[in-house]
Amino acid sequence: MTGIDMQEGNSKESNAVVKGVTAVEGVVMGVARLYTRGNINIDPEPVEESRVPGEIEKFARAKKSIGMEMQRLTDFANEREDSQTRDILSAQLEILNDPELDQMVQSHIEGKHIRAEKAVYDAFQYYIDLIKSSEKTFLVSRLSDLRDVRDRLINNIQQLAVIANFGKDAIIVTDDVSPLEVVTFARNGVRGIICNYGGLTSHASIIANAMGIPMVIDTKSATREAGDGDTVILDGYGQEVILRPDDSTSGSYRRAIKRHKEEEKLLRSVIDKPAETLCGKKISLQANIDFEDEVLNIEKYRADGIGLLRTDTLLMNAGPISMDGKRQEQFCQTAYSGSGSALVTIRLLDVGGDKLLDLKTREANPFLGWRGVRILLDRRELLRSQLKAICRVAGQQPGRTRILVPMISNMDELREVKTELESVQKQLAEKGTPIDKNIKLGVMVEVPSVALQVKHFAKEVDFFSIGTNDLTQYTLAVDRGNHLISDLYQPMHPAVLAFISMTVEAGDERDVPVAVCGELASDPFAAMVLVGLGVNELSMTPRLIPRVKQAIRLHTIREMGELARQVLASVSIKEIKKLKEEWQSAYEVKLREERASAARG
Amino acid sequence: MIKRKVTVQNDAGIHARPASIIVKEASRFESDFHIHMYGYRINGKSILGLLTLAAEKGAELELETEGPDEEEAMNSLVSLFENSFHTESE
Repeated sequence: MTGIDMQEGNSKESNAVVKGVTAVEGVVMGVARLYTRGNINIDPEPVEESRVPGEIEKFARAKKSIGMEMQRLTDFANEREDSQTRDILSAQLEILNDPELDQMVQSHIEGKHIRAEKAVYDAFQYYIDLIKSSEKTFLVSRLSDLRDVRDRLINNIQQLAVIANFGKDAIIVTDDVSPLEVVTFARNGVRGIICNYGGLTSHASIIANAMGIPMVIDTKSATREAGDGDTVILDGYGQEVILRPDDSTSGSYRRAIKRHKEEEKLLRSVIDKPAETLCGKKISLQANIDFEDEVLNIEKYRADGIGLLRTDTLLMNAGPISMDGKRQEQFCQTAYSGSGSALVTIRLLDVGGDKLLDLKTREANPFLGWRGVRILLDRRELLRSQLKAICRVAGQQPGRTRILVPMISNMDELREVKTELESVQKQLAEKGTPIDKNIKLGVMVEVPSVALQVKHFAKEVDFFSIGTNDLTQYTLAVDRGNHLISDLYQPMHPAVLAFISMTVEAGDERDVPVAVCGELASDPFAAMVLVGLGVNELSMTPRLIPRVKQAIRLHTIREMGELARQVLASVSIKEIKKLKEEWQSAYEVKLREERASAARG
Repeated sequence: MIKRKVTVQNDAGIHARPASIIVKEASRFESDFHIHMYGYRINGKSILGLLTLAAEKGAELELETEGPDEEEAMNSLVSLFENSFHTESE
């Protein structure tokens, strides 16, 4: 980072927001420290012969000091029972102590009279080139482990502190980080990490998660927008970074951070407790899962199975309208194995036509257009391939599978899908493939026509899942992506709640389970209302489960039922907002008591 | 000196982690340990050497141990390969 860039950074506007992707959740505020892996500046000129022993000595010393440091980091990882970090470090230690490398560096120094850092660089380059020329991705993608050891050696030799003395309030802003850097940051008490690039599944992200350092990646421009020394807020919940916040923004974040800290402490204590109401009724809290790497969170947050397995990203990655059955099976299998023996609800493809690459014509109203089951019924091969993949996996673990059909707006669509499912099952059975005869078929309640006809649907489905996001947008005629009308998007609108209530009633009459899988389920107040209405299954992003579980554990069914009655009796959004505020302040009192009793106990 | 042929059995091939496991195991023994593959011969106690093999699942290697405990070393290294370096379950 040059001086000019820093000046530019400091003169930039306050409250600048940089969007990213949250790799490790959390909110922290601190001082931006721009971090670049010291541009390696190596003098290639030979040294006088008399200096050769000194150069060899420098190399030996650097090796020893880094070896000790890495050993300490390994111990640190061991203490935390963090086997992933330990394994990475262990491989890096092995690289550092490689006998061939040692010999090569020494003979380079002795034979060519070059500096230690140059000899190290050349020796590593020899191996890096060899590995690169193999063109094997599984190795080339891990070259960062080698470069990391190399750069540490060189930095140490050049007596540069790898991690400058950033101070305890540092938030690192960088292009990308290596696992070892994350560990070192953690030991130095760094508060957060912001990267221009990076992947959710990279070792660095995994380690930051294990170490509990909030991290936002993929910001593209953070290092350009932030100036060294700027105050910065890393908001992992909002997937963004706020640079140079003004006093009022800082103030509100300070309060938020304090609240989060207290909340998190309490929430951690809730994770292992059962999801039941104060009066002992069990509520099923399930996970919404989009990607394979999220599956780990099911166990981490003790989700009760998967309430919504989205298969859309899978197709999007696969390209045009073809569907790779094997890839789908794999994804489902990962999901099954990550969720014990609990139910897995797989939603059939739910994309809009605009996402399909073979569609040339743009729709004027994509949300009212060719999407969900409408596409599946027009492209039967896609529907069949997806059903087949699901049924094959379901057959291996009978009794666990629920298939959820999106964007149903009339009964005929449901019946068509049911016929296809039966025929796929029959074909598999004829080939001797094990099938699950009790596979469940349900519909998303997201189009008002289904909610209005829900009594009829209840006779023909095994379960309902209410998608509150789309139900809200279709009921209120509010495009949820349109900023001009974002204040009209109110999932707690009495009309939306009336539809939910109708669905629960119809489900109850026929013993058809009703789940809510929209964002609404993760809001504690809304969750109270939903359970009060009679919803027994809530599905959400796994990390939000403890928050909802805590609210459920502190209320009785009677209290939630009363709240639901009041909400249903409201006729305006304002009335409901007022109820929410009242509930919120009463709940905060309960939480304070809970914290106090936790502190005593 | 003894030689024995083995096949890489773990799905991910010899990446950093299995390589580090092999080196650790080989370093327990006094005997020299070398690996032959496609005409290359590398020091089996060198993780960087192992990585440059870029050995994927199914690759055929020849292990060679030489020294006072060559037999013991060979048995334990062959068993590592046969058990996919104990990494498969993770």
